[in-house]
Amino acid sequence: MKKKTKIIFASLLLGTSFATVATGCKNLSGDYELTNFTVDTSAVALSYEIGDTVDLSGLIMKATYSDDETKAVAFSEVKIYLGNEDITANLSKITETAGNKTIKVVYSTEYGEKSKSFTITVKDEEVVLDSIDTFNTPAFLVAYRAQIEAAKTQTESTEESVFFKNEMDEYYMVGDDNAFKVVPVADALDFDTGEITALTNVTVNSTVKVLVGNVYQTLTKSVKEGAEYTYEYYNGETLLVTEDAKKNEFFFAPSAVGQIFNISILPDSTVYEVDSATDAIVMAVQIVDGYNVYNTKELAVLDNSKRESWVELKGQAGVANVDTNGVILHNTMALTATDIPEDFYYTLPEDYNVKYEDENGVSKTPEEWGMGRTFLKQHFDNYATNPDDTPNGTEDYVLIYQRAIGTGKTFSFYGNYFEVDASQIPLVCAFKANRDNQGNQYVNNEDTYETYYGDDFSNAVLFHITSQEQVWTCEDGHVESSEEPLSECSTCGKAVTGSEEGETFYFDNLAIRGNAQNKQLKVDVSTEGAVQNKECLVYAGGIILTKINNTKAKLDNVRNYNFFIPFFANKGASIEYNRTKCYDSFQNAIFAWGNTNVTVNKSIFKRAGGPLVILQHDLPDESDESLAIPHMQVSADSVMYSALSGSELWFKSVGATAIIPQFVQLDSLFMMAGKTIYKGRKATDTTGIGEGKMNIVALLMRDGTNATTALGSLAAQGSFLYGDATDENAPRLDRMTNTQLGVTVRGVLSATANTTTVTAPVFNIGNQVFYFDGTTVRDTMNADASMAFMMALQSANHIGFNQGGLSVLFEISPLA
Amino acid sequence: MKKTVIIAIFIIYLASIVAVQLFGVPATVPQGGAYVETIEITGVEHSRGKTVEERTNPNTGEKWYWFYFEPSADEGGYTKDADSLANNPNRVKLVYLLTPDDASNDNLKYTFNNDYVVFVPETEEIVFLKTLTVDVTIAESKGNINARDTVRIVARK
Repeated sequence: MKKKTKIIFASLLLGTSFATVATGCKNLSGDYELTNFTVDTSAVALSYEIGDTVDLSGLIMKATYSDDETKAVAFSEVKIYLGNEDITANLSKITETAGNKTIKVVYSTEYGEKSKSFTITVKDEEVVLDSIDTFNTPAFLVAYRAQIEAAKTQTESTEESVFFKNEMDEYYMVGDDNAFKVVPVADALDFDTGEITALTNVTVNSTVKVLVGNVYQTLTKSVKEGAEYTYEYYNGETLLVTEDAKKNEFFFAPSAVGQIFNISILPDSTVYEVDSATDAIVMAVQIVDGYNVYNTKELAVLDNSKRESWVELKGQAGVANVDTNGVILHNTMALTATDIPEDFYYTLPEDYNVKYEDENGVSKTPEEWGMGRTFLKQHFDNYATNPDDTPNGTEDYVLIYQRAIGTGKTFSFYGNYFEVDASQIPLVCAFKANRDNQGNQYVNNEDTYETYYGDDFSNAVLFHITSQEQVWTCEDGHVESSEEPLSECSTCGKAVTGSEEGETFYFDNLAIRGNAQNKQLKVDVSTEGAVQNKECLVYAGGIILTKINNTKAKLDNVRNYNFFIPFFANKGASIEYNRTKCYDSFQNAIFAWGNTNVTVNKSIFKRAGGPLVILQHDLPDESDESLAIPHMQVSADSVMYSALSGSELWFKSVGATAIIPQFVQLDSLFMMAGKTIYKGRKATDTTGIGEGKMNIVALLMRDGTNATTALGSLAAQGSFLYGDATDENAPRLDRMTNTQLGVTVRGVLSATANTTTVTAPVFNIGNQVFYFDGTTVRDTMNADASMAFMMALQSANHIGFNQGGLSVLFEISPLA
Repeated sequence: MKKTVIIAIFIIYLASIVAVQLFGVPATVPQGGAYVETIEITGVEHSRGKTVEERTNPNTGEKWYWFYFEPSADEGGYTKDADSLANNPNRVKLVYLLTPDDASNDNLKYTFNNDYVVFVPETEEIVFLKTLTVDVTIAESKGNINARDTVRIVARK
């Protein structure tokens, strides 16, 4: 190579090398650039209070270039921006005000500029949360659990004050029509004042699970858009529950009906300081179709009569527009006159002279007896001029809460084991005001008063249940609806049968007290200055608990005290009374009137003022008698016990006193076999019953005339069975024309009737029939059956007595 | 004359009563030290050395104090009987200043607006039976109605 060429080449080579060195092996064309800039904030504080000094010197920053080389960037090499303002030299601007501040770090070089942003939070001032001091279960849940526990651990001595124990898992019932309120009992320490005060509501943090199979699955919880502290709980895509966590309310969707949920509630730790040892409130609930009732005013939803006075009360209670298929109680409550329409009752003037007399002859004014002068009206709207006033047509008597159940629908009353005290509901009056010819208008004029119970005792009803209509079908397939029972098809005249499906009333898990105290208090007819013509029993004006008409019903675990009649099964009703307890009923535990089918399972009826159950065949002499016959079966494990001498005022009032001496006389017949219907009577009590008392289990008779008149009506039908139908020895009464026992009894009664229709006493021990001709006990073949009768008595615990239109089932016991 | 003397003595007697009621001037000088002119509660101390926090009501500017309540291992909690009181660790004392410096604390009386605290006069300890808020007033009981102060103490969970 020539020297000149070598020099040029060397120069070029040298120059290239120099350029390469100078530019750090960079692109000789100038594309070296800053490609990335990172800021690591882990070593600096990101939360300050107003006025705090901000130190960002701990930021860890790195720059990366196009040749992939990375170098650390010092704090002095960057600028800090707050918004568009360069605050590098004045970082205190960050904490001048509260809020979330976006801080931009800018790194500028000749190779480009990069920036990164992060957030600094500046708090207004130290936020001190109130501290939860106590957080306890709401009172209603404590009461509910106590009842469940009492039922589980009950003994003989607690039987009358507890419910039946449930064998299955127990769930608290909650309706889906309105809020379910779970307000913890809590107080909190106010960190401003130092006071520990009770909280009206507690903002809570809840967890909700739904039972799927045997496992609880946690629902997805999300904040409802636009509603702080309102949460929605989903199972997949399905919204099941909405919670207002500030008001402590849960709203269950209709899709939740039938499902079981587990709710767990704690104070919200973003709102309060909460001790980690705080126990959650946990409960399992079952959702049903119905309205949650928290007080007596809201119970107005039970009535759908459309009566104007009820509409007004509903409006005042905030339930005017509630259309529901059930009522669920969430509290113990006491009903008074202020909870029911004013037009149901009136107050006797102060100057009207009336006194009540007890069994000892002590006579005092109502006030002196601790009673008021406000009474339910006796014959209410008897002559109403607006028969379309209610879905049931013309009213008769005071029906306080009326529920007409639509065709094919159900209505449920869940008591949740709470107690309702209805003892302060006014009695039906013993006085009747004169009416004008337009209706039963109360006339505030003492001259018009007279003492009068009318033809009957109280017919006032607390819960009156009926169906709006029932579907009837004849054999030709004609279908029609009717509120009243039909005897024949209106199209072809053939026999009809009622619908099997449809309207049902469910009534569960409630204890309730009535106003018919079991006291022998009567109107004192000797009171000077008053017009009183009848020794009316004051507490015979007590209310009936339930009167169920023309519909199916199932009652379970309903416990009651002191009702005139707790359970009235009215025409067309088919009712199961399961695990019910009736104590101290003024008249009977169950009254079955007309064509009713009643089944009683595992129940306890004690201390009624008369027979424990009464069955009345309505209008037995009418052509439609087949539709008016009552039937009742009571399970053998039910307890039925009363203790009556027969001299109680109730017997006098119903005209039964005439027959009582017969019972005493007949008892001497039983005493020959060492038995007595007066339990406690001794063999030496030959002239009287001594300490003996009757347990009258059942009375079967014709319609609502008194016992003396009923004696003359052989046409009365009906049946009562205390035990299993397959057990020939099961205690029973049978007056049917289509059963062997009934035909036999009726046949003997007819055969022994004399011209005044008074028959010989006919006894049935189970299915065995005997009669007493005045001197000898005979069988149905008219043979002397004294020995067989004595033997049958030996093993008998009950005996049926039939005479005229009366059939009575007594308990029979060994002589004391 | 005698009547006049009697009336004069009576007037002086009445005046002394008025003076005491209006000005808190004691009718007699208590034994054992000067009478108390003022009482100022300056703090609250826990008898077992636990922390007592001070806070100020932002609305009234008044200070109040709180400490953590130590619950009893017994199901029935702490009671007023001697054994339970002796074992109850939830006890505090007021720190207070009397003027003049030599004023006697013999006649100081403590009152409380909550029945669930017990005062132990020998040690001037206030024993808490449960979590609660109590306003404690310490006052001179012998005549100076102006010598008193009140503080709020909270035993919290």
